[in-house]
Amino acid sequence: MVTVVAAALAFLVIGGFLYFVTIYNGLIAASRNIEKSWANIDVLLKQRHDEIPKLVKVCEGYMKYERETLEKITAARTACIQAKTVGESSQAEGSLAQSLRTLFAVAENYPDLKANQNFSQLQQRVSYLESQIADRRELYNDTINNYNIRINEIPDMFVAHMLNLQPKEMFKIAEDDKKDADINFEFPK
Amino acid sequence: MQGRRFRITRGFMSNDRDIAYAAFFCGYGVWAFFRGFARLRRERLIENIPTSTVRGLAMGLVELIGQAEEARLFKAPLTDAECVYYRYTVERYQSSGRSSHWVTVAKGDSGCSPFWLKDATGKIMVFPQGAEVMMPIDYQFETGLFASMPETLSAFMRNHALGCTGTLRFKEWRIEPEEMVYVLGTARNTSNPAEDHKNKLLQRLEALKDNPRQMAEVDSNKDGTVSIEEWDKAVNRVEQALIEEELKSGIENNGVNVIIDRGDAGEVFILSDEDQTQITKSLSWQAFFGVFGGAALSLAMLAYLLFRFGVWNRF
Repeated sequence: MVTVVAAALAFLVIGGFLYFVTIYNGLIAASRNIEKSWANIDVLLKQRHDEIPKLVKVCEGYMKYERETLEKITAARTACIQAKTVGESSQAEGSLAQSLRTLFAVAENYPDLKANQNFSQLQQRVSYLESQIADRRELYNDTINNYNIRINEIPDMFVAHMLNLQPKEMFKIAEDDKKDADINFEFPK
Repeated sequence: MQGRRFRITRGFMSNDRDIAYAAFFCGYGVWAFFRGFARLRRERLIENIPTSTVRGLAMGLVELIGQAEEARLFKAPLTDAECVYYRYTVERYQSSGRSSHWVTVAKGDSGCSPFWLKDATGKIMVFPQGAEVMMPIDYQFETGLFASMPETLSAFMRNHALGCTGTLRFKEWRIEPEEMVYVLGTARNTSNPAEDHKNKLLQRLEALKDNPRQMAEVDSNKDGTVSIEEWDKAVNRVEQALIEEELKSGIENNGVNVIIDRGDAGEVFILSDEDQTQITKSLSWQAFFGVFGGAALSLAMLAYLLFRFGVWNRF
């Protein structure tokens, strides 16, 4: 009788310990997933940065009168590379994306440029990267959402409180980037 | 000092085999208890990982949901249904003395043949070998007094030289084209096509050697042994099929060799045709019954053993 009671207590203690470890490890994994998904966005942003100089070089030969547009892209790219905080990085990436949209819209006015195979490949590559970046940002927000739900659910919230885990903010687009692209056509005089 | 004496009380089996059964189920209960926590960890892993798109996936552990598309179409062995993946078992009910149980007489799957997983953003090749398959049974049949075996099953038994005596149970799991599929696996870049080709070829040849029916087909002169020439022909056929698949894969993936498989470190790899909610619900129940059922079973068997040894009141 005593043996059975002792065994039941052992199950209870071991079970409680294993349950705590499971929740703890799950919260740590959820937290690390956020860092990983943010880093995965950076990987694509870096690829995009690497494509920009090639794109600008191809465009320069055709878009002699769009100097301002090309300079904006170069400046935005530099700002991205030099950004130190997450806020600065988000803002700079937003400006870069906006500038690229403007460039591709303006390029419609230059049939010779559109016919250039290099430009066409680079445009497809950058557009594809933009789509991938968007997908990974959504994934990042999903990861944050899972984490925020997890740390507020019972019984995870008790372990989260013990670890002092705080809710995290989702990736947000800056207000300026939500506006339509401002397209200025500079025609030769 | 008088030593303790254990008086074995009479159990419900005359030859005390119930003690062995009780000890076995006590240990099984402990195993089920720990396995329950393993299922709980698996459930939480699935819940923690968000679903990625094919276009946006990153290398490493990734969760994808999409439609299955054939890279190679199979006929499921028990039902002849078209599918991109299948798994089957055939069991026979055997009685020996006082015990009777189901014994597996044949089993198999579609091996390392991949299929495409397609979503709104693109498609990626999935190599299902080594996956933990979490799917409900798509087809089940048990022979009996009033159930005569369908022709597809009879043909299967004949082709595998299996007798149709006794009670047989057939089970088949399959993924059909256009069916929704859930995959949790490792996305990796096969950046070394030559090494990858060699590994895949070796895997397929191993699978061929393990399949008696396919080896019988390799023995073209039916003399009971596979000669060097017959084996060389079989290797060429397998490699040709592999090359065609790789060429198609390269074209479909725009030359990018990213696949989903088990990964090198034996990471989690789950394949299912159910949705995520059903998978986590199933794991949740398995965890619950494993932990509580396992503990209860262990304690009950421990109590029974103590009673049988007549030491219930002493310990």
